[in-house]
Amino acid sequence: MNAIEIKNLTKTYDGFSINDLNLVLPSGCIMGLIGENGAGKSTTIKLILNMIKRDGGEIKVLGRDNRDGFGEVKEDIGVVPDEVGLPGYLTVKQIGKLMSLTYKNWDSNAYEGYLNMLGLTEKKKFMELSKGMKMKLGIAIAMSHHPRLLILDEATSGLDPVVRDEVIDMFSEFTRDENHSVLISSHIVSDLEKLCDYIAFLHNGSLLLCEEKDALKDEYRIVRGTRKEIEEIVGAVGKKFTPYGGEAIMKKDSVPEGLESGPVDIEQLFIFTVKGREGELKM
Amino acid sequence: MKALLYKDFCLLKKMYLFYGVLIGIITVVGGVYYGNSSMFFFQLLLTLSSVLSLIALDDKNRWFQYSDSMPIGRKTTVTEKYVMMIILFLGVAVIDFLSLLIHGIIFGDYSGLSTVWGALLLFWIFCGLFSWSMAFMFKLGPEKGRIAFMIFGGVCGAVAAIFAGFIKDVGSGNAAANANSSKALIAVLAAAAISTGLLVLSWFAAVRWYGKRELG
Repeated sequence: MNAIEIKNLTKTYDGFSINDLNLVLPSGCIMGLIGENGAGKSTTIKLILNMIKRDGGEIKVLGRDNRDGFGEVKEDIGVVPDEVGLPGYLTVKQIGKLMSLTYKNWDSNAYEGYLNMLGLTEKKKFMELSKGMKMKLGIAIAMSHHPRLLILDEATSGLDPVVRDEVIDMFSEFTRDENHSVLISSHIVSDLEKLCDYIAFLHNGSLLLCEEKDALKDEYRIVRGTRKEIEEIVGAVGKKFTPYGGEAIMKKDSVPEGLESGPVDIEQLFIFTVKGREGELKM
Repeated sequence: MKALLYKDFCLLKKMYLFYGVLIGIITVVGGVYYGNSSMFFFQLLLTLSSVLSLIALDDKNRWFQYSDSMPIGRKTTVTEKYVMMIILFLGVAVIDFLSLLIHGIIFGDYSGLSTVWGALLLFWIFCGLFSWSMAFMFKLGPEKGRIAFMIFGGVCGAVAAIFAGFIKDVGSGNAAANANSSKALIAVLAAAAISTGLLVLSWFAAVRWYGKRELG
């Protein structure tokens, strides 16, 4: 079963729209949603959670349409939004109690365990926590009711590199169970590269590509050469020029003979793909 | 529902002590000058302010967005605030009853207690009217919704002024003997019935409006 299935999703605002988005997150996998600010990552996540109404298309989450009896499905979803919206006057302990009254499967022991692991104290009020601590609490809440699907919107931003690494390990551990899946959006592409099985690029509300990370890395190469050599390349995803030469990203089997090529990382692929749509990169 | 009530009572306990003290002061004053419906009006105004402040606070904290990702339906979110309003209104009614009882014990004058039923009807009328400011708050958000609060607060003030004489009469015992047959009683009961309708309608409107609202 797929954890998330999106078909022909559309949503139009004044000056922005999600256009005919198709996306599938298989169970047991982690998908990273990459996009620049305003690309539509948060809008897509809100549409998946039915927080905003879609104009067209279909969204199925854990096998159910997200407009039909979605309350039950939400028992199996853990969400960490870009801003964890909890009342500032509640203590971490009271928040645990609040969540135990909200989720049928709430596990107080698991919550305490996550609090200890993430260095959170129960007596602190939510408003006394730093941005990173609030995010950690959001992660603890999302994980403590044993969800089958985690949806994380910029959840690792605001965390220091050490904690980010720990959190990424937590998510990896979470998907060891093949019924568990994660959809995560982030600006920190290196985190997603470390964590994800699938990568989806969003740009101006459109899905540029959505593929397995390893396949992507295997499929594309970064090519370096003189300005003239790079200019002559046809069919590159994107090109970038410096005073000393140029770089292009293209499919492995299209790399011209005689040019130096190397493996590409996801961040490069994303930047070149987006910029390739907007015109050549220049430095 | 339980979760939301728990959250709101925690917040009320921590944040709205100020409201509690003010309501307490008004209750004491209202206990001394029993039958003064403007005292009830101020009590209720403060009670409803606290519920509206809870909505505003939820909005400010982005709780509505966060809770929308949890198994908490929007209908439950709206209904909980209505339940909260009724609980607080009843709480104020109980406090009034007790304060009037204590007043009676101290001064040997229990006539004030007869104002309680009148005040309860007035409470209920206010509930129906005030509930619309809540409905508009769910539709428009707290900033624009506060304008609705001002409007419905004004209407409630007018209602309080209209029924002030009646409550006073009941309080002083003039109307007690023939209260059941008085036109005023019928008018108040009719107003209470209309108020019940208004309350139910506003709940429906709030559920519908909030259900359609995009929580971006």
